[in-house]
Amino acid sequence: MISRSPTPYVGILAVAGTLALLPLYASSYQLAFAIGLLNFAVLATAWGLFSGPTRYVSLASVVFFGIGSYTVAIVGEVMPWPAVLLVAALIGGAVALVVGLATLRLAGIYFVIFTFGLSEMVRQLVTWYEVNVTLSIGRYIFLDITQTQIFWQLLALLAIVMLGAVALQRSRLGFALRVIGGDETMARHFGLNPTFAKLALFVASSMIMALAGAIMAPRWTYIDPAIAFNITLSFQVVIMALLGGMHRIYGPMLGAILMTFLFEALSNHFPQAFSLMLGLVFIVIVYLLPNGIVGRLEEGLARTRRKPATASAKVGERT
Amino acid sequence: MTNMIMRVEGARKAFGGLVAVNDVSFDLARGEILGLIGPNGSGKTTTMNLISGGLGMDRGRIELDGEVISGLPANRVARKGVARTFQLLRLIEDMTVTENVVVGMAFRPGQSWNAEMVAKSHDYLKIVGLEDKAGLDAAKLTYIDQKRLELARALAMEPKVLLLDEWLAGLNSTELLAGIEIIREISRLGTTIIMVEHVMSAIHSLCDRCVVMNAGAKIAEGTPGAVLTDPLVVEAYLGEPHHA
Repeated sequence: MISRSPTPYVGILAVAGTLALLPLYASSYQLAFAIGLLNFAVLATAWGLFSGPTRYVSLASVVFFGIGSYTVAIVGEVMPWPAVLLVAALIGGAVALVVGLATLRLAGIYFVIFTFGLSEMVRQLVTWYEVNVTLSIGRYIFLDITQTQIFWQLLALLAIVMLGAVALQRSRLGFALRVIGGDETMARHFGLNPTFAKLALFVASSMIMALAGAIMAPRWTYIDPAIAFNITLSFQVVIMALLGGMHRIYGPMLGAILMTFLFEALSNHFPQAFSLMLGLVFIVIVYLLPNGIVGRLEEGLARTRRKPATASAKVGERT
Repeated sequence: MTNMIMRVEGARKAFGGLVAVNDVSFDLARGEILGLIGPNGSGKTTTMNLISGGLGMDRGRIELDGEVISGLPANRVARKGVARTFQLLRLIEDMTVTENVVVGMAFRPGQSWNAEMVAKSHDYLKIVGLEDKAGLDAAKLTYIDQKRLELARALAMEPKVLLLDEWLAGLNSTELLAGIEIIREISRLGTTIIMVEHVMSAIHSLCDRCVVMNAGAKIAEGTPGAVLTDPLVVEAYLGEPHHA
């Protein structure tokens, strides 16, 4: 709960620093695979940041990811790259603020439906705009950004998100989110403003997703609304986070790693049955791994250890 | 500083056609224990919810230390100094006992976020007799211990007024005696208390005054000895004699 130990921060920086050397040794195929993996790791971690403690299931990941990509398509050539990233994050945050104000008072199930509807609405709106105003459904992105640079940017983003997640977990806001996730009505009676706390996290999580979308955009030379706002991405992110387990900040990332390997294997060996396999995986997770792989591993560990002192050791430290 | 800490004036709340609380007024003196009693469905818990901001009032006003708190949302009322326990326990079961107490401390005005809260939480646990179970998950506690924890969490807010909603309900006779002593100790430490309660022995031994409600209205007010022999109160609890 409250801890000032620097170990997790040092650990994250050390791992990120080591991984940064990867482009020096990897083939271009391996690098492309690593980029996909990092992208999902960022998205799933960002998703878990908000949905883990609040237990709100958002299917709007692709909205913010797509906003990031479209920002690059529109202003990528007229602004310096850091400014493009900043604009993408700000637009994503602004949209999240409006959506959050409108929806975060809703009960969980309505929130799911709303975010699903939002993805479709944004896709249709952008399509309508492109067809009727710009008179061209797609856009080309010609930016001088290499795969290696994309890799480094995503790695830096993931490291920042993980550092932020650790800091959040130790903060009052992180604690507030756990209380709200536990019992929102009760939380109000202890001086907590649930709407503010949820909104803050939803906006932060959405800005990260928009940044990921912006960083990834130069990989495609062409985007249209069907590519940038493909709802499958939202579902993939949810499945990854649930597979990994959300009560630990590294859970969604672990899920993203495993699923990216699985997606790769599935699309190589069963290209026709990809969606079917995805559905099966989801069913398996819900039935066999309700707390994700991390949850299952911890149960297993607890069973082998069986030491009575674990309870007191838990006070004040949950990382 | 007056001797009065809270004033409820003409509080009214209706749910559709049902008037759950109808023009209820009472004052609360600093340091006293006020019993809010009456038959089931008489509007006691609704009154508690109006005070704590869990429900908005249709009419009337509530002042805390001279400041109007009616109309404020529950989180603002809490920060002004009103804490409560819940009739049905509302702990966070996958948090430890200590963490549940920190819930009560962390969002007080002026509270900084630091490890001292963990140390301080032991003081509250000691008052309710839970200091040995600080590291357990709340889910692992027995029913009476979960009730103690609810109380410790409310105390951790250092409230001006503490609302206890049937906190003694469901305890066996030994636990009841222990529970009464805990409430007496909290009162002795200076907290003003309003308690909704059905356990008459507890009302007799703890309450300085009682407000009696029936069908949403206040029908009597006074010392426990006086109100519990009031014919109107007896009738509310037992029914009219010629119907019996």
